[in-house]
Amino acid sequence: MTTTGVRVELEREPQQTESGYARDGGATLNGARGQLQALLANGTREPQPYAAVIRDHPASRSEILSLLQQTIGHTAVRAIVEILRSASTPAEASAAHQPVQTASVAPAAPTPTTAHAGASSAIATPAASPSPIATIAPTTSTSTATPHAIIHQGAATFETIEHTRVELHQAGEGKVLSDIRAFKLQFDPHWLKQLQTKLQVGDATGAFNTETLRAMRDVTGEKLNAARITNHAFLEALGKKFGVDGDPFLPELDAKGHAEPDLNKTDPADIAAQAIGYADYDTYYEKAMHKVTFLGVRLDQNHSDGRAHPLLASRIAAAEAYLVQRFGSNEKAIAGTGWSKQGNAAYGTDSAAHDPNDPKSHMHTMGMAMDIDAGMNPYTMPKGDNAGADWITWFYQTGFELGHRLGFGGDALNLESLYGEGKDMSSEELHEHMLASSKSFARTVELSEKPDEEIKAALQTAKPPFADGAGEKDIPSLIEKWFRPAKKLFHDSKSGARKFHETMTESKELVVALRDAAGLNWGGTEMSAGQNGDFMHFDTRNDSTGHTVFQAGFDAQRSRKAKAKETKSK
Amino acid sequence: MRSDLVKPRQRKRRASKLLTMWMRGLVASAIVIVACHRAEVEAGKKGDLPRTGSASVKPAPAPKADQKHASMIMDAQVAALLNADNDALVATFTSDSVVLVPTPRAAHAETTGLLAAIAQLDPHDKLKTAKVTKLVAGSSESAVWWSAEVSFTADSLEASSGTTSTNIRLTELATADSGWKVVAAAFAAIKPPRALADGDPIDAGSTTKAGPLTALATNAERLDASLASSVVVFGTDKGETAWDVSAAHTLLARWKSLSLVVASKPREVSGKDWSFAIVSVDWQKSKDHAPFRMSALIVGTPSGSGTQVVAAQFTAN
Repeated sequence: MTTTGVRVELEREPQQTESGYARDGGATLNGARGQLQALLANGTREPQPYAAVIRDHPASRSEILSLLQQTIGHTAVRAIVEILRSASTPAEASAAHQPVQTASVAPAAPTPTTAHAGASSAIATPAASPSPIATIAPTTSTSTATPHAIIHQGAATFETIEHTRVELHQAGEGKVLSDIRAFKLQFDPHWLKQLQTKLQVGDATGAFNTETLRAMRDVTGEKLNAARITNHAFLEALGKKFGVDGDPFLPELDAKGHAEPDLNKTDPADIAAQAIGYADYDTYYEKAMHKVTFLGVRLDQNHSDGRAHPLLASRIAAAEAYLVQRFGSNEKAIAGTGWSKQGNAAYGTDSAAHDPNDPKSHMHTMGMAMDIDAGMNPYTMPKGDNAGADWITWFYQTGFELGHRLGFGGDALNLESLYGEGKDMSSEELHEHMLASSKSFARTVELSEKPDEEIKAALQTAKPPFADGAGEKDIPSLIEKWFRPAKKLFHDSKSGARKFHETMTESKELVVALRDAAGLNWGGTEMSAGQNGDFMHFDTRNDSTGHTVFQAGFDAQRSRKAKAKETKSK
Repeated sequence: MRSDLVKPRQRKRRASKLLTMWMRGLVASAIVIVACHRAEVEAGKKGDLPRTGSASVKPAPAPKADQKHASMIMDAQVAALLNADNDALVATFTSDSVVLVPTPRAAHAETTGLLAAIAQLDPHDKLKTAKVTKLVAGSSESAVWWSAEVSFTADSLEASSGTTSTNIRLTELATADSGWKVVAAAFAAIKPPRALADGDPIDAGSTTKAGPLTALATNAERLDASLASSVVVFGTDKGETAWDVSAAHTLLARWKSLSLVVASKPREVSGKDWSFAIVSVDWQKSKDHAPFRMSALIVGTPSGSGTQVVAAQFTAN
């Protein structure tokens, strides 16, 4: 990293707000600028020196972290935040955790009067006991607990769906949230919202989120993991202590069949159906698949027959229950989430499943996936299916990287980073990154419409490599290979498959509902390490039954292709 | 099908004209238009086939609507499909029309997704070509109906070959009163029906009382007896295409033993000299299975005091 490059990054500060995930702050870098330039120019990657700079310039903490996200990356910033947090003295922690109310903070029911550091002691007895529930005192309306939607002054934050800002995730939190989503049962949103309210969670929405995890850890004094949090006895005890009645989870579903497999049926979809107790795919489709709606909107749209396996149907129902308790009705939820009512469930259930040349089993074939706003949330990285899919993957990866390098915000998304962010971040933080990257990609596409000289000039203001390893001398080639096809795909073509420049339009509300409340796996970031960026797609592969179906079909398809290849080579 | 009604020179001129239209920015399409309309009064001439309400008095032949409406609407629909212009496609249908794709949906409903439904496009597909391989049209004074086969190819991100191809059958009815828009249609890929737990009823707001055509959808014998002398009948499976009355009789003879029932309230509408019924049909194939679900579009014209069928299509849900 050159000094020149650092200067360019530092001078691009106003654009950082477009990334959407580093907007708080307002102080200038002041004296920190020189120290940071030196560290960046030296190519320093270790978090400690940057943490030291922040300690020296606490008023610039937010800006420094925001800048570092753009330069040395999100993972490094997490490490810095971790160091700052762990090194804090009680006094520092107390000072750092002073709640800062802003206009964007949603008011919590009981007015907080004390600092966060005191909250734990007010409502819980942190104990060495492996079963801290017995020591938890219920919160009352006179509690002095602080809502967990506090803004840690100077911290790098993300915005919750309640428009509060919460400090970035600490190491391990993302995994716990991810494991909770993958649990076989979904939280009853009414039960969870009651508990969140009692625990003074500012983002009390009925979906399990970062603040809820932190609040639970605070009140129990335990570093709770997903297994503990989803333990029924633990939750019941917690509910009892805080006066929350009812079952924490929505009812469990028997999503399997109980028939012997018909071994004469060997298409991948047959094998996937047999893996969960059906004789073959056609029987599975007859017995298990039913028409489904989401928020009262039928999903037999486009080429979909609108049917879904009960597992997906139950997850959709969980998302609905969450959204209706949040907004009041289906209609209000549609308006509140900004959903266009475009969506679909199963497709490819005959032609694809029994295609004599290339029979397939994917999550839509099996009725275990739904798409939301498909026309505006494309499949960006379908690598490996065919040559066209590989090119699309390269095109979008390069576009995301170009946008990032050009200072349009967002991340240089690729298969690896998408998968990593999906595992590390909460839905709210993840959505912010995806939306910022989507807008950045759109700006890059819009640049493709400009004359070559303008594109060249824009690239020259950025720091090489611009994307895909391209340097100064590769600019003409980059224009030829990326900007020309972009212009053709998005501007010249009337075919309209890519009318929309952005890669994701789903709202944060909708992603939280489908990912956190329904426990669905988002195709945008967590399909697999090898294929990702399918932003329209949500499926049930997180669940053990869903995963069994997915894996059995995938393996059968791969095995079939390998055999075909072997036969061809002979 | 009465291909002898059109002289070779006329046929050549029409085909040439259509070919020119296709070449103008759409796709080179081989269209065979064979006019097959007949005056309703001719429907009962042979006397060997019982007709629904067949006339005993022969009225003067009524003037016919120009069948070019069929090719013009098809041209507009194919152009809209290739331009991925769902709005333009929907605009060829009346605001209250119901189409089978292959299940009944309102053409103008915001959630229908007519374009992808007709072209059988998955969300990751992009339509590449659309070619009308055969089209047969008929007309009355104020309506035009046609049956056709169309083949599609699409770029697919999910297919290992990168391309998918699909053939569909379609039946459409357009009327003069609506400004030559389509009032009812069926579009379906060739596939056998299968057992499904749930049916696909017509939206309650679009259903009507059953009329004479509804009953024909579940009674192959009566349907057979009601065929006009120029008629096209499409079934669901491969090979189930009857482009003329003789083939239609053969096809329907095979269905006479099927146990078919009307599954839910139909949509049956009639105009001055046209009528249609859209019907959800259940085939009770076996006690061990759920019904095999289908839908049907039956198009009729007046025949004496009754109705004769000029086109019919069954679709597998």
